[in-house]
Amino acid sequence: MQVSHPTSPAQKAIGLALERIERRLRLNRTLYQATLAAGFVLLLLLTARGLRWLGDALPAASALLVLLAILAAVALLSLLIASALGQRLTPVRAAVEADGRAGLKDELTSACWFMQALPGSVWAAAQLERAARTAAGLQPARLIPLRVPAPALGALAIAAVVLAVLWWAPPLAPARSLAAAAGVFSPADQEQLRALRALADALPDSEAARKLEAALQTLEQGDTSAEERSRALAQAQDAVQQLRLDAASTRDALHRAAEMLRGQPGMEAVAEALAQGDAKQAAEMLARMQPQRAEPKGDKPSAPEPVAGGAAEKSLEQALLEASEATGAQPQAVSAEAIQEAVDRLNEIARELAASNYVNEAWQKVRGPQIDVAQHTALTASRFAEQTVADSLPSPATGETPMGGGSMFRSAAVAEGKGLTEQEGGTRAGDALGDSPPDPLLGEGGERLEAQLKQAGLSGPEAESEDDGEAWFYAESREQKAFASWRSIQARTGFAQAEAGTSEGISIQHRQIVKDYFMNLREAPR
Amino acid sequence: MSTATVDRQVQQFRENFRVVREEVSRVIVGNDDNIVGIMTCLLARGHVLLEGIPGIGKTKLVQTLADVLHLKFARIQFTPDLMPGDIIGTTIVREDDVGKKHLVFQHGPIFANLVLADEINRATPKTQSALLEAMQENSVSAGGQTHPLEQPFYVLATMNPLEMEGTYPLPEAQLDRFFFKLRLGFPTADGLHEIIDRTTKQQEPQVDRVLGQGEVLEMRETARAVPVARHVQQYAIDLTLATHPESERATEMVKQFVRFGSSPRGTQALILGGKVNALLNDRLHVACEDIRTVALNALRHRLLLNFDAEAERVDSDAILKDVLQRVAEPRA
Repeated sequence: MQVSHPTSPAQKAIGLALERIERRLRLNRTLYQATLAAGFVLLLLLTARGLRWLGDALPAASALLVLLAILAAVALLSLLIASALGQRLTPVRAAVEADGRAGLKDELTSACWFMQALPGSVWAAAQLERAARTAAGLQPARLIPLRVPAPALGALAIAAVVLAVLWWAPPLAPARSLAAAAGVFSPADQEQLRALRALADALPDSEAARKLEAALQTLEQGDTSAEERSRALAQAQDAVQQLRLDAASTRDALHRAAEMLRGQPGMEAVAEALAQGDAKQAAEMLARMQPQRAEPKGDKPSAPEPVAGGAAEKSLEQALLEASEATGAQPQAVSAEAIQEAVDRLNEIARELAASNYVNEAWQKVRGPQIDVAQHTALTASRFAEQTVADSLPSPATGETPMGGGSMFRSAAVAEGKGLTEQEGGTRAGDALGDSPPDPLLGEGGERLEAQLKQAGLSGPEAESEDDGEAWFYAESREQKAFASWRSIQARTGFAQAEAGTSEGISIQHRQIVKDYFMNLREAPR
Repeated sequence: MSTATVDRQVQQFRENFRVVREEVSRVIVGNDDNIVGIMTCLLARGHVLLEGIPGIGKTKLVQTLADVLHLKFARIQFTPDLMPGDIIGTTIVREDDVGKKHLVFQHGPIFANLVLADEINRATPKTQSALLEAMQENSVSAGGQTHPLEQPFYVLATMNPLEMEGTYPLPEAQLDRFFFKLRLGFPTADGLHEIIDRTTKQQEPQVDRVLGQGEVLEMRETARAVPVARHVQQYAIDLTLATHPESERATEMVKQFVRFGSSPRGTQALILGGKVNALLNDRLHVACEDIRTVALNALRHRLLLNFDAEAERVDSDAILKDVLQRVAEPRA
C-alpha cells in the first residue's frame, strides 16, 4: 500500500510524522544490524580464544565449540540477512509500528489507507484530521527508543565477559601443544632437541645417523609447521630406534662369537670378554696375542691372501674364526693379518656399543618428557602403539624395560594362502573389534608367517646339528623332532630375543622375515 | 457535510447510546455487554438471538428496551401449535358499510418495530421459517402480496438451552439470519441482591422513552458511514476463513471440531458490529480490536460443530477464542 501525495494539511501532518517515525525505525534497524555484526565478531573472537584455551586438552569440547560456533554464526548471519532483506521501511510500515507501539488501534494505518482509497469521503477526511492530531502528538524518540533488544544485549554482555575470562585464563592444554601451535618450542621440546643434537653429534656415520641429522635439521628450522615438526620428531625417534636395534644386533653377534670361541684353546679369555659384551677388552686381548704369536714364528714373509670384500665386510664370527685358526698352523703373516682384522672389527664394535650406550642415555632423556606430553595429548591408536611399543624394549645398558603406557595392537587376521579363491587369498585386516569387512585383495596369497618362521628355525645351521642324537630308546615322530629342534633354537637365541625382541616377541633373527611378509602383502603385484 | 458534522453525528450517536444504556440499566441488573450487544444489533440492522436459562431476564431485557425506545413493540410467545399466520397475519373477509365483502390482510404481530420472539425454538420449523423472509428481506409475503415492514424492524428471539424436550432446534439457515447470538449468564451474588432490591418493593423501577424511531434510524445511518480500512477488512475475512475446516487458514481446533464454518453474513456482522463498536469508542475508523470485540457474538452461532465437538463438549466459543488467538492481524 502506497500513500498518495498529501493534499490536505492533515495528510501533510500525517506524512511528516510518519517520515520521522520511519527515520527512527531505520536508525533502530541499523543499530540492530550493528548489534548482530558485533555479535558475529564477538562470536569469532570467542571461538578462536576458546579453541586456544582448550588447545589439545579436550578435543571433544573443541569440536563441540566449533559446532556451536558454526550454528550460532549461521543463526546470526540469517538474522542479519533477514534484517537487511526484510520488510522495506515505508510510511505505512511506520504507521503500523506507531499504531502498535502507541496503542493507536489502527488509527494511522487506517489513515494511510483512507488517504489512498477514500480521497473524497467526508468521514475519511474527519478521520484524517483526528489522525493528524494524534500523529502530531507522537514523539518518535520516545515511541521508538534506540535500544538494543534486551536478550541480544544480555548475550553480548555474557559473550564479552566470557571472552575476557578466556583472554586471561591459563590454557587448559599442555605448554607443548600451545608452543607448537604458536611455532615456538616449549622448554621440554628444547630439552629433547638438545639431547638429540648431542646424540647426533656423537654418533658415527651411518644410515640411521643421517636420518637423525635430517630430522634434527627440520626440527631446528624456525619456520616449520607443527605438522612438519611432529613428522620430523617421529623420524628422529625412528632413527634412534634403528640405532638401538643395530646395537642389539651387534650384542647378539658378540654373544654368538663368544659361544663359538668357547671351545677354542687359548681363546677362553677372549670368549669370556665377548660373553660379557666387552668388545674393547676382547680386542685388547687379541691384540696382546698378536705379537706373542708372531715373534716365535720369526719373519717369514708371506703375502696373505686378501679377503674378498675387505675386513669391513667380513662378519665378526668369520674374522674371529680365522683369528683362532691363525693361532694354529697358519703362517705368521696370515695369522697376524687375521688377528688384526678381528681386532679391528672388535674395536669397531666397541665404538658402536659405546655409541649405543650414549644412545640409550639420550633416549631416556627424550622419552621421559614425551611420555608426559603423550599422556595429555590425543594420539591416534597406531601412533600411541608405536610409541609405547618402542618404550617396551629392554635397555641393553640396564636391562630394564620402561613402560610408558599400555599397548594397542591392531591385529591382522591372516588368511590361508592355499585352497582359497583369488578373492579370499591375501590378508584380511580387521579393526580392533574384528567386525569390519576384509580389506580388498592386494597381492597373491603368501605362505603363512608362522610357517615361514618355523621353516627358518628348522633350516638354520643350528637345527641341522640337532640331528646327531641317536634315537635308541624310542623313535620320536617327525613332528616331535621338528618341535624339539625348534625349541632348542629358541633356547640358544634366548638372549637375543630377551634383549632385542619387541613386545610381540619377534627376534632380530626373524624380524626381516616378518617385515618382508607384511611389505610383500601390500606391495606385491596382482 | 463537513468533518465537523461528522464529529457532531458521532457525538450524538454516542450520547444516544449512552442514554439508552443507562435507562435500560435502571431495570436490568448487570448484563452491560448484552445491552451493548442488543443495541449494536439494532443499529447494525440485524436481529439478535438471546440464549439463557429461564428466569435470568431475557424477556425483561427486551421489554425494557422496547420501553426505552419509542418504537412499536410486539411479543410472540412461540409454542408448538403456533402457525405462520399467527405471526405474519392472514387475509380475512371484511364487510364494508354497504355490505360489500373484501379480502383484507390482517397484519400479524410481526408488523412492529421490535418483535420479541419468545422461546423461538418451541415453534415448529414451519412457523420458525415464517420469520425468515421478514428478517432477511424486511418484508412479508401473504396472499400474493408483499408487505414491507416498517423500519426499524428488529427481531429479538429468546431461547432456552436447557429444556430441549418438545423443542425444534433452529435450522442453520435460520440461525445465520441472526446478527448476534448473545448468551446471558447467571447474575453474581451482588447482582442478585440488586435484582431483589429492585423487584421486591411496592414499585418497580420505571424507564422513560428516550429514543424515538427517527433517532434510531439516524444512528443506523451513522454506523453504516464509518469507513473501514482494507487491512481491517482483511482481518475479518481471515477470521471467517479460519473457521472453515477445509481452508488453509483453519486452525487445528477448527479442523478437528468444525463441520462447516461461518457464512459471509458472519463477515458482514463482524464489520458492521465493528463499526458500531468503533463509534462507541469515539473512533472514526474500525480497528482490528473492534472486530475481535464482536467476533464471539457474531460467529458463535454460525459454526456447525461435528460429532467430536459434541462428544468432547467443545463449544463454539472455545473454538473461536482459539481462532482469535491464532489468526494474526494483517500488517497493512
